Amino acid sequence: MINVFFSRAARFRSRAVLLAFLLLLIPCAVWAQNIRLDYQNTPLITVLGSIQNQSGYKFVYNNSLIDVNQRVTVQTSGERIETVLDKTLKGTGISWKIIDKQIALSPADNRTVVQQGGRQLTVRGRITDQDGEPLVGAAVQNLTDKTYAITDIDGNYVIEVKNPATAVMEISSLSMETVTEPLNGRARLDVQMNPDRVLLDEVVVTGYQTLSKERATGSFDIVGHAQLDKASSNIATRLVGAAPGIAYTTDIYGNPSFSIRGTSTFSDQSAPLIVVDGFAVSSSFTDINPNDVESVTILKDAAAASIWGARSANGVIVITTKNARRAAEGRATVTVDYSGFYKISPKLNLDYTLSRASSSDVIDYEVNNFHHWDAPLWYPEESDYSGGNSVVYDLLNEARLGHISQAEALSQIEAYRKLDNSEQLRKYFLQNASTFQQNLSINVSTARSQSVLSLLYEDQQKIYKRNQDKKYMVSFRNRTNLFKWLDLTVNGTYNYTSSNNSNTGLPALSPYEMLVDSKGDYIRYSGGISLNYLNRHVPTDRFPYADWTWNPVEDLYARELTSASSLARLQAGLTFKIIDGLTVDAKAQYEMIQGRTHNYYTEQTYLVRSTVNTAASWNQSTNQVTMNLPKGGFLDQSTSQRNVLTLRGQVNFNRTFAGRHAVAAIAGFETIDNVYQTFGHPRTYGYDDNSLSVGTFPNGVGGSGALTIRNWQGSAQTFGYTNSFSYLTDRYFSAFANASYTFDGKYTLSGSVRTDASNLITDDPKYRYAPFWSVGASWQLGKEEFIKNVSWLDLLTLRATFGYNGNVDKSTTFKPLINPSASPSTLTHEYTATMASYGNPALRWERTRTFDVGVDFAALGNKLHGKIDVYQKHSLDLIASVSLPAVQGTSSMSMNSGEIDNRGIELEIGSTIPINRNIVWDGALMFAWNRNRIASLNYYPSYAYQLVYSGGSYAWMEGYDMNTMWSYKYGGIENRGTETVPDWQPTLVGKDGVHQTFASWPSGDAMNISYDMGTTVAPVNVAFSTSLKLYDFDISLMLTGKFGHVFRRESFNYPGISGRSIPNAKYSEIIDCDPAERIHLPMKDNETRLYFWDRFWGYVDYLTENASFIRMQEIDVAYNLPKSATAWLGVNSLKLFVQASNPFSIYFNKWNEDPEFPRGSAPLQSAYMFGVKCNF
Amino acid sequence: MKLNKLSSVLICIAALFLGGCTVVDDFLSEDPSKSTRKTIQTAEQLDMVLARYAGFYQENPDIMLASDDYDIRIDINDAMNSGYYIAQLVYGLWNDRNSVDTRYHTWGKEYGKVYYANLVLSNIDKVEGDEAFKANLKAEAHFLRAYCYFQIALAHTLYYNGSNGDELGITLKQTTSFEESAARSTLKETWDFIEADLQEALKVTKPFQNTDGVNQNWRATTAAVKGFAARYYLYRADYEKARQYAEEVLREYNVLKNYNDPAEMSRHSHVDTYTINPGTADQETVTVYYPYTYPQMSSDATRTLFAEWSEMLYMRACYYGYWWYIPSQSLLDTYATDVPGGNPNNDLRYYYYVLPDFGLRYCEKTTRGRKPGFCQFFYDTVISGPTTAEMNLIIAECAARSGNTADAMKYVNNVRRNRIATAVYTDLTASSQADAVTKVLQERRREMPFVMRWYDLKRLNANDPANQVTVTRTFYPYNETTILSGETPRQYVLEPNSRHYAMPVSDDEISKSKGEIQQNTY
Repeated sequence: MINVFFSRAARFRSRAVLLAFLLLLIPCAVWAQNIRLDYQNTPLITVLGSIQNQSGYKFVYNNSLIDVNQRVTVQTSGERIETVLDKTLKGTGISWKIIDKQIALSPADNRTVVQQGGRQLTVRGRITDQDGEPLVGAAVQNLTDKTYAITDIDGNYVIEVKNPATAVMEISSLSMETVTEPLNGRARLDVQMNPDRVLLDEVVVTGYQTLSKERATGSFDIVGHAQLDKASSNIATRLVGAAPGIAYTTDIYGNPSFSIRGTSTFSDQSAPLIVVDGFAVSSSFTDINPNDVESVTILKDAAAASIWGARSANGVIVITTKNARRAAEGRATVTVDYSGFYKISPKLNLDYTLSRASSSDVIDYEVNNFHHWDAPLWYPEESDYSGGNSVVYDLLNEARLGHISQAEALSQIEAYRKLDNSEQLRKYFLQNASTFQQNLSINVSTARSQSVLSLLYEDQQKIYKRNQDKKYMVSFRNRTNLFKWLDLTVNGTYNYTSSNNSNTGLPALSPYEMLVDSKGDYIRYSGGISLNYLNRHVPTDRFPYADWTWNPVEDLYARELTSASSLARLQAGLTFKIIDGLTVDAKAQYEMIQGRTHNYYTEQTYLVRSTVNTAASWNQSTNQVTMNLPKGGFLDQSTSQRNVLTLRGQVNFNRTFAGRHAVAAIAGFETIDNVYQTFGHPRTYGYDDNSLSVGTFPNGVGGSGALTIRNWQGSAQTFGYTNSFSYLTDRYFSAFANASYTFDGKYTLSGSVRTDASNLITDDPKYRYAPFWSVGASWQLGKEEFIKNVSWLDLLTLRATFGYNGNVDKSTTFKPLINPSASPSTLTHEYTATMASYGNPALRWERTRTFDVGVDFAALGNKLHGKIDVYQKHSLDLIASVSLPAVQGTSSMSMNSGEIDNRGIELEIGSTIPINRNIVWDGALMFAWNRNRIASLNYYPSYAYQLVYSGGSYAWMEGYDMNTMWSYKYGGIENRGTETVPDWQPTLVGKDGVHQTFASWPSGDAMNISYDMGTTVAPVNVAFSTSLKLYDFDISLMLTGKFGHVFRRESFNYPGISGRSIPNAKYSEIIDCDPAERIHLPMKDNETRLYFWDRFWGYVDYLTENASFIRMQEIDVAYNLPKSATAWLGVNSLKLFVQASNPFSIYFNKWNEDPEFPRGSAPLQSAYMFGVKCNF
Repeated sequence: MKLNKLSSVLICIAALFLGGCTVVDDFLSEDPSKSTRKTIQTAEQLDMVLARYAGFYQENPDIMLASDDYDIRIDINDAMNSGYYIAQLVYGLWNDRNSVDTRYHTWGKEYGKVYYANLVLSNIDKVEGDEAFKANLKAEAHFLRAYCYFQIALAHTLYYNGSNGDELGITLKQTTSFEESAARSTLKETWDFIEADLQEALKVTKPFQNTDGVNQNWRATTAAVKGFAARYYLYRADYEKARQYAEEVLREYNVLKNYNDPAEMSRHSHVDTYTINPGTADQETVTVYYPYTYPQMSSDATRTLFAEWSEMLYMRACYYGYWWYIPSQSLLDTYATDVPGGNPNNDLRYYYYVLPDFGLRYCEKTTRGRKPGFCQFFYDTVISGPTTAEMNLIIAECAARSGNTADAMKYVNNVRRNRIATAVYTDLTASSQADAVTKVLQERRREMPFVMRWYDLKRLNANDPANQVTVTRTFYPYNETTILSGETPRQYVLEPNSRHYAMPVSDDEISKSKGEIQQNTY
């Protein structure tokens, strides 16, 4: 990005003025930047603070290198920042440099500078930054004879070298990686330098304030530029593997959801709080333009997150968006960034997703099964109208009922053996998932006002045909210095997403059931009503729709299921600068999120035809049919709306006294008013999307007595006709304060308090309030005299924090609560009410107590840096289901009585090694270990099967991990018959040694038959990323891994004959298995309980597998066009890139099954991206 | 400038602060939801709580399983696809310990309803509403609680004969507080409490009404409460009071469905057909016919036939999720007595409700699987609440016990005239007082199979030595998880004076109450 001088900007002027007019936010007058200082013998840090407040620039420096406590005397009256800095730092041995909106400080070299010399070789050169911009004031040192030169305004230097053949030059500049290079007799040495990442990242953003990292005592992870700048359609994907404390799971497209430091609540509110530009937002990551994100800070411990109080127990993710860079005095800049990419995935792997046996195997299984096991229970009798069986079962049953001969059935079945519908499914149901994104952002800045407008368009095709998301995002951000004592910030965002969800997934067909025949005509199947019954017993042509058949392809194109959502967010803030170090903020955010679904089913869909037909009354003796629903399509609609207003007032104080006492404090309050409304509309019958005509109920909606309407089988029915509404209000009031005190730049103490109150139902308002607090301390050990001598150590900081965060669960109150019905019962015509809560006498706020100890370090000239955190989180007063004796009216009630422990270690090690000026290697390793344990839960399983079969919240047991996988233990087979007539039954065996068969639900104590197999959530998360800058190429890759957890691999599915139960691909595994080790197919010919086995076969111990895996998360290759080429093209910079996401994974189980995307479901999609990014 | 700046900032801060302080409580007093999670403020809300008939009408079948109207038999077990469940056996074979499987428990089901009664009683004096309306709701809550406690006492306590008042009663929860003791009262306290609740319930003023073709039988009405009072006093052997309340009911409402009238009773068009013994010489197609009340009852719409049942005074029904009421041979035999020609099909209750081959649904499709089933509403529901027929039979029994055999037969025949096929109908007569009592008791069994038998067994054993019953069953031994079908069957006996007439409370309940709830002793 380069500056465009006013004269050059003239071309842009008309457009810029228009822009300014439209957005009303660029002030007409351009004010001179005038910094006023008047200090006598004042600590430097105080003066810097004042400059920072007046200018909006931020100082970054390394405390180990800069003595900010030395005293200076300075007087300025309205000079430019550059002049002010020169004046202030004169004689301090500190040099400065403005980088973006930061002022970086570094030690100036006060050693002798030799500009001219005798008869040596005169070496010239130019020092530039990573963008090719000249570096001013860079030091060029001849290490051999200890002479120096400093670069001028254009980055040029001249130095006399006595020993040109052997001289080694070292080039150093503030915030840049130092470069060392042998001269080898050359008379010219140009060096392009790379930024020193460690230094630039040294601020943390909590959403309430921005702190220099060294004055923050809490545990933070900061995700930097390099990671965020890569292209994505969801900024959350950029956080995967980027920080140690953040565990993730993804959907098939790689969109992650996060968990920070384990689960610490039993409620479903376990996601971290998302904060954008200082405000908690109600939407998700997908509503943030990924190209707008400047930085992400993750707040993990009590000291870091407690300022977010009652919503911070799950951690906080703070996102800061980009703002335009401040222009220098008297200049205006306009820059435009464009980026675009196309990402494509291969078609879904059907073998993995469907995991079914071959057609021939399926037919063998079905033909055998039809005469065995539980089949006789499910034979469709002549009078059965329910259908949906496979073609093969239908043929076999026709033979059984005597409508065709057995031989005929078998010969017809034979023809199906060679058929396989995979190809047709691929053709009619699948497409290549793809994403096409274009983003344009325009930055306009003057010395007093900076604006960014960004526009994004994205088109995402999903894995199933017809499914698509289209996204439009507009956002505008402006920061203006209205008066020298007042800043105004305004951010506005509008997003609109429309989705087509018409494809509801692959149809449940047997592999030999084709979609279309050889002529391309749709093949007709039963959609749930037996075609044989219809043919023989029903006068189908007398019904509204004579066609009762189903074809999945026809259905797919006969419905239009769409949804749309929009989000409008406006943030505004005023910052008043009162006196030195004291500012007051008044901020507001308003969000409006709307959602709408519009599901239209035409009368070609099976749904419409069968619903209208079966709703008709049919007099079976006269065959008279009376329509009860109109012919025509169905329309299902619902809408929702969320309006959130957040207001915040805050006082900030930041000042250093007597040179060594630095104080930073904030205090304020916040209110949130969050209203969520939903509107449900009843199904519209007889709807035509072209004419918008609707039908009426020909005979009313049904009811009791004379109003009764009977369906085709004579059962009474009623039709829904009422709208439904909900209106939820979530309100909070919070007051907060925090303060930190740093002594001597080495010792920091911090503390925070916050109280949150919500609109909880209570008689006494005092119960609405919950206090949270934290304390922390840090010690810059690296600055102590006894460590300073250790030359290889650059930074060593010890941190410790302790405090409380909260979590919100407003589902209960002291008093019993009821849910009144919205409409009267159609039977009794009375309004009714059910219990919403039986009362929670222990009501209070959920709390999490966190203790965190950390070490930050940097060594070897910042070549190696990292941090270690050890934490213990104890969550208490958690709302959990408590078992009660039934005499209390309920067998369980949610009360504040649960406790959860999480403890863990997080480690981050990074290294940057410049090999030469064109080759730089970078690597980072993240490691996190978490152990979760339910410390207290007064809950007993009511049924023996609850831990294993019900799972989820039913499987929470005190003393165990929340995500424990419970299994039955397979006990081999046992003879439950006699010796002469044996009946070999599979069993599960309890810890008491007793075997139970699969014939009925297991009984006895749940803990007796449930075995703890380990946790399903990885305790160990590892990420390794590395990048290599190679001339104009940037190559990087990231590997992630999860270790130490378990999953259940796919089991054979032991299908019976009801419905279309297709034997899966594991058929071969059990066909000849040892029944002592694996569940065999039933050994008893008339195994009538086979249908009951599905409560067992998927839950036995031998399916447990190691869930560890390593994923090649991403490989990126970017090519930056050299300056010569960009100049020729007329752009400032141009980058071409390719990216591969999830190209492959390595699993630690021998079944080649992805533990997070088990066989039988859609796997994680790999994707390949091509894109371009440019700036002009 | 300086002053402006400071003052504007100060005004801002002051406004924000003061505004904050004064409105915070108001701001936070907004209810989280307009439509759900409401605190109880009005009598109308309490009325809505009691109006939810779907949450109240079902009763669990443990006492049905324990009675001799149901059957536990080896031949049925062996013909069934899956055999009996242990949870059925623990009642049917009168185990000392209750099942942890609570699906069939009267205990939990009825205490669940008691909570609602207590919710009304705890709040009724605090809420807004018309006083007469509130008084009626209060009486209704007492009625609900009395009815539930009566059911729990039937299941879990011994018969109260006036001298065993120190035996264990039931837990008498009187509030919605979880802190209230869960300990069981004595038998005397239990029955005194139920009677006191009943007396409060009799203050109900709402008459038994018919709106839109449906009787308001899901709410407490004068007929419902008095119907229960008649049942209560019959159980307590206070025949005078029982007859008095039954007569009061019939003066208010006296409708009997005539099963001879096709408009009142018929068969459903749906039939089940089974091809049994396929591929053998005995291959046969068997048809099972259902009464018109066959359709499944899963929603308001499909429960209309049930709600419209015109004899029902108070909507209560036994709900048996296993879907097979297995009638015992002794129950089936009663249909063949007192009926002209000894043909049970002349008793239309047998003709419509007893399905000789119903068992084929759950048994192997062979001759052996042809076992009878009893279906009234769908496969799962049999009316258990007071009916006009029961009132007639209560009057008949009270009359018989007071020696008025003519009255006894008059009321029995009121019922029989509507139940026996007209073509063969003759009035029943009694040869003596004892014969009259026996005939009335047999009619009760035919009229109210499954649902009233446990109640009758308990009171007859205590009060009527001539009509005491010893129930015996022959079945395999079993343990907590399995029927030991390989072992020799044994006899299970329920003696008339057995302590097993008080069923055990579930162990789970005892541990959840931390031992506060005591187990029965055997």
